[in-house]
Amino acid sequence: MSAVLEVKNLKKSFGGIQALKNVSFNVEQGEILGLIGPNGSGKSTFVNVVCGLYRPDAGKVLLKGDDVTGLEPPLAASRGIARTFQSSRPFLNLTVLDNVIVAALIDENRVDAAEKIALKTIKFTGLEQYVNTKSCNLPVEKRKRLDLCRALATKPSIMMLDEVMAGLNPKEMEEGIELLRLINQTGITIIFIEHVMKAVMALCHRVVVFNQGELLAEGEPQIVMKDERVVKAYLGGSYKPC
Amino acid sequence: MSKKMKYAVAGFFALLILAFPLLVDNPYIIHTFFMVFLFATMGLGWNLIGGYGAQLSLGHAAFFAVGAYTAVLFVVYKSITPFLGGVVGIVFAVILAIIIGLPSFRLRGPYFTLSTIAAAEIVRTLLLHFQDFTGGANGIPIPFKGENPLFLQFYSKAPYYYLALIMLIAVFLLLRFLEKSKIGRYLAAIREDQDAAESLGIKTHKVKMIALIISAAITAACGVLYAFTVGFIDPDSIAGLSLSIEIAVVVIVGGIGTLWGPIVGAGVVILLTELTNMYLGAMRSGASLMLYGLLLIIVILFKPQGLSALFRKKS
Amino acid sequence: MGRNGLTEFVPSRQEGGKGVDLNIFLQTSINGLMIGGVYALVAVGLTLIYGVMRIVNFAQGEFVMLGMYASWMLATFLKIGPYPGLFLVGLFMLGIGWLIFKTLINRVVGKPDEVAILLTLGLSTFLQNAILMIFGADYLTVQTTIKDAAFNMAGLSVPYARVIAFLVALLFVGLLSYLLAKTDLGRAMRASAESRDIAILLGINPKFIFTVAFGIGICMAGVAGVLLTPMFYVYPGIGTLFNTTAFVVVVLGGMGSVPGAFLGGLIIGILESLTGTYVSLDLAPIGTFMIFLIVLFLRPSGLFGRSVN
Repeated sequence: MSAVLEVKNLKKSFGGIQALKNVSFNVEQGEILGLIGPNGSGKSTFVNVVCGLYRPDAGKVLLKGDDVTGLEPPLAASRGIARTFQSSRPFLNLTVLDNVIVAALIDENRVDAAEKIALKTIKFTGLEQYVNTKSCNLPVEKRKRLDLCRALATKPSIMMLDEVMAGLNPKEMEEGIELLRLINQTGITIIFIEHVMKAVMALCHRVVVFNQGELLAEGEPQIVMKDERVVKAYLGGSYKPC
Repeated sequence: MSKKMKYAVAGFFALLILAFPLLVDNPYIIHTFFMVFLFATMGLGWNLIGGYGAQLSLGHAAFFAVGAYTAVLFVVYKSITPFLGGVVGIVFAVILAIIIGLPSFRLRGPYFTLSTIAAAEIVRTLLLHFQDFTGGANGIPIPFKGENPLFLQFYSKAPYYYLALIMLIAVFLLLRFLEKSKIGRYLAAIREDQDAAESLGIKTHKVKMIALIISAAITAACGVLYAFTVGFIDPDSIAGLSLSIEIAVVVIVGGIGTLWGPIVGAGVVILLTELTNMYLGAMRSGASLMLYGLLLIIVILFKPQGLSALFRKKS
Repeated sequence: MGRNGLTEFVPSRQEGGKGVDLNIFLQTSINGLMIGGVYALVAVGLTLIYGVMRIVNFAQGEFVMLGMYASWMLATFLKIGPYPGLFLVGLFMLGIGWLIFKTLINRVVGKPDEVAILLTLGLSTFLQNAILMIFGADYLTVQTTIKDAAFNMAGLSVPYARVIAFLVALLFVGLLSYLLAKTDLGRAMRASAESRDIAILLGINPKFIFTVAFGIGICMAGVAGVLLTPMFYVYPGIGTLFNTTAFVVVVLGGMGSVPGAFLGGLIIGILESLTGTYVSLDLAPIGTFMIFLIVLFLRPSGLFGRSVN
């Protein structure tokens, strides 16, 4: 399997704080990679750097071999890097359909063609009954789904999801997990920042652990989660396995 | 009201508007409606960047003046028809728009607004300064040498009325098309959430720039028409902050970001202005501008969506 | 009458190109510095209001104008000159500031920038034209005992009026800086400027802080107006001039930074004066705007401001 995303020696600091110290790893084509770690470990910064919101101080990001380091967000998106935000950000005064049409226009110049793609994507993500609902009238769980739907409509190679499971009840989470599996099956690579371990275990092929801006561990979820260093990072060093 | 009734009423009003100059003899009244159409058109143009794009411009007078002065100077110095001179004026206005937009679209906050004010003031100051060429503070009159359609010279006010009406309809249709087009949808997305829009591949600077360019072109064209209708232009009247404010007020009062807003707003504001001028006679310009200020305050505080929100059935 | 209603003598452009005469350069610079102090005063008020409550006050210039008219009225009807009347006008403007904040500004705090811009724009238009209707468009003057008298030394002539304006402006800015740095109220204002949420958590009542900050900002504009009356004609449109200049200064200095606004005011004052003398009197505003656009292009956060993106 080839790497769809290669991250090499990424560094980023804000003022005096080093959010990313020297991060290097690869993301394989078609996998769901979990990105976990305690709060403040640099996960969101990482996503923001890859999708272009921040420029890294040093290091490279390669997408399918092409250098995309520091590309501004719109350009990163047209290359195939999609992301969702921590709190859902639909275009509130627009309907679900209009929201997704905006996304689908990334590759289309004609609105009717974009509309067709939008409708297909809306169906795929299970939002048909909300097609003409203004997104400000959607409940939180559906808004998150809309975020996913929009990102999907931009025909990405890789989707970076920032805590998409937060605040969902068990049933909604099951449905979310199922949807992400479906998305992954279409060939889209997913980077999955999550705190909800159940979802991580259920979905991720591999997991990468951040701690204080550095890569702490890498590997299959079950193995990594038992790693003593990882446990210590989460619990602050006072945990002793019995 | 049934649909048939609605079409009948609309048709009646359309007929009335079309036949108006033939029914009414008073040039002052015809001119007032001319101004309504002109401001409605300018309002629609402003709305593209100010309403749909959510970038508040207080410098649109610059585009108006650039269009007007270019066309007038071409006539006065080179005897070239305003149909050509106006096109050149529009090109200049577009260049000015690019100069303004390039640095300020990168920034958030009120910086864009301040840039537009600075740009308009620079235009006005330059027009005043090069007085040998532009007539300075005294302005330029357009010498009337008899009826000449090619040079937009008519005895009656009616042709100007119809020209303004045609322009209004054209711009209205343009905006209606743009609203649902890729550009219009991208603008709406940017207005709603710029960061989310960028994450979906929208090049926000480019989109805002296109909106500003179209807006500038429309405003410049209005400047050309105005100049030849009134027959006289001077920097303080047409390149001043007051005009920029008037354009913005028309849209905000009528309903920012809506298609009918500028039209409703133009009607309301111009009519109120004329009434105020009629009753407060000698204090002319002060009274109407004071009214603008008051209207702006009231609308912002109590009905920020503007008056056309009152006509909308669902929210 | 000189540029924009200036009533006193302004050194004219050197014939035959850029003046090598050091005297003209110094004279121009000092004149500019003095008036720069007043610009600084107006701008500091503006930047304070923005810094503490994030309101862009487009009517700041109009409050300068109001200060001028208040001063004129005191002089005309009560025979109180601008300098003796300064304190009274200052108090009056504090009251106006309180009133405007309570009735208008308070309702839009926390809303997007555009709302405040439009509201204060409406206020500015309203005030300017209300004054026009009440007082007419006539250019009024305020007589002072020190009219046209000047310090003369080393070949330079600096009018008393300018020096007093500069010094009083300096005093007010100094007082404000002291307030901000050393008093609880000032600290509360700075906290509020840094972060609304934290300020509230610290038990600071934002509404009170905002009212005071706004009042001070308006007062400074009004006082600036009084200081300007011996030098400028008083007419309804004079506010616009100072408004635009104040905004350029604030952007140059960094929005929300008091030292920035102060320094920026002096710089703009000098630059404008130099442009007026060496380029052309009526092109002086262009110099100011050019600076504004250059700052926006190169360093939008200004001299002392925080990053703008």
